[in-house]
Amino acid sequence: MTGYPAAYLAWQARDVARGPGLVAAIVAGVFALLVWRLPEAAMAAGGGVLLTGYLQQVGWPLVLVATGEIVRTDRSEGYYRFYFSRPVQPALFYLVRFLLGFALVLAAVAVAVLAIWARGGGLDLEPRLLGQLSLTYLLLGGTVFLVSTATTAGPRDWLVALLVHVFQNTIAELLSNGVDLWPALRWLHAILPPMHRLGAGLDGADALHAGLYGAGLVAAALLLLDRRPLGGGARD
Amino acid sequence: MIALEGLGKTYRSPLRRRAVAALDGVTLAVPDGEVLGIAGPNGAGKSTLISLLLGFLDPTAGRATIDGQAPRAWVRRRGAGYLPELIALPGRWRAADALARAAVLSRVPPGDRARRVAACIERLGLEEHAGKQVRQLSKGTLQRLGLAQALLADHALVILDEPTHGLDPLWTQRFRDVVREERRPGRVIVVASHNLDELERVADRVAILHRGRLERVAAPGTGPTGGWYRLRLAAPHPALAAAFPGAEPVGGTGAEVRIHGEPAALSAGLRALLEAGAVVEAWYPERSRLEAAFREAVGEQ
Repeated sequence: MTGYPAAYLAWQARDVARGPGLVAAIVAGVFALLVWRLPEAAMAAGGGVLLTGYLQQVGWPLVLVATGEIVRTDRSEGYYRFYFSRPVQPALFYLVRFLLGFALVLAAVAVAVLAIWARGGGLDLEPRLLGQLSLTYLLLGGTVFLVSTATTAGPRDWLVALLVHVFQNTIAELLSNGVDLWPALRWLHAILPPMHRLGAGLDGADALHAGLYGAGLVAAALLLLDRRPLGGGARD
Repeated sequence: MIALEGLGKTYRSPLRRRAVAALDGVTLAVPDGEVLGIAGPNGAGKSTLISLLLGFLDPTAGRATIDGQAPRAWVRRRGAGYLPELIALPGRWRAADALARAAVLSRVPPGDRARRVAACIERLGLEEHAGKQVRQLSKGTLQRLGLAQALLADHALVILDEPTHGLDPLWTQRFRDVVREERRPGRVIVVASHNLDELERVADRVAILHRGRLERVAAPGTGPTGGWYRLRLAAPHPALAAAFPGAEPVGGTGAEVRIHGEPAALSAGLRALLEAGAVVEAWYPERSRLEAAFREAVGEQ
């Protein structure tokens, strides 16, 4: 392990653990505490119900925490000059960081599963739930990643992704209730990341759409990192 | 090693209504083994030139190459030792960890990393600060950490932007020794600085930028001084006025004057003064040759 990325992986993991990892640890810790104090009657409903509720409530916020400011801070603070004056490919560097964020989300899920198991709720983590979480990471996290890579000013990347998330789910809700919307809103709804398709009714077509869209976002971010210079000005 | 051909960089506002030419038509070749200084007033384009050399920016005109390759491709393959004008490192990193990270990212062989980090800590006097977080370091110590991370690996290209910024006089002197030690065949060291005295001491040539243009490439120690000299005698002497009729008194002691003239006339005056029994304490050009070249290049006499 003479260089990047293998030899630097431990340092990057440490940065993730000490940054977004703290928030994830608090969220998972609070859930574990709640599970520990649940009455026996509530546990009787089964661990799967608890876990589904946990992922629905904190899954997407955890994704925002794990991917927020993934590139932008390094550029705005000038840290990129330390990393990329060395023989390091920015696209590979941030791909590793993106994957470490996913590992962090999985770790937060693992803590929840272990907490439920410790209360006798069983280790029943459905593959479907895991798939849904992975797609959420790819699509929502991919949106954060691309916004983080493409912008150096304006609102924070995770906030932009959050607004898209809220917009898409609101419009989808309105359309499902038969509300007649402006064509411009329908058009935006059609082209923005399909976050509304990651809900409870996720089917194969939804998964394919969300997965391909998310992969496209990540690929676009990596392409930008590879092709575009990182500096915005002489001292940026 | 480095070739700049008509290199230009114009910053444009997002809507392209405003354009600022930071660098314009810079042509320069820097051979292996050279220490190149870059001087210029604020906003002359020094930092833009450095960002172009590291591939952090793309030129809008001309081209820059390092060993025939575009800078970004070259740096991503081989890396450079780089000290930015304002070193930025996450505040929670510890100084020794920052160097360990730099060693890994610079592909220093695993068996050599600890030794190199320890050597850099000792060389830059960071022993008592190695365990401190970056946010706890003083400006001067942070600058030394910046120098340490830039010099840690044996890169063929070293770029130091205002390297003595924030250093105390002792470390400023020590920096000159460090540059001398770092110089070797096959390596280019680029030092950008406002401190002309520093550049005069460390650089083989100094590129003087003004308003984005390369006005002159001066070799320290050569060229005109601007023609003004200072003469200080041990005590006032009546022969002084006759030896240098146009001399301007300095300081009111009657023993120090500033003199303008050609070397031959000045030598004759000095000889006459010494023959009259005056004791000369000091005789020196009022401006260094580089300073004279700099003032001329930026249009200020």
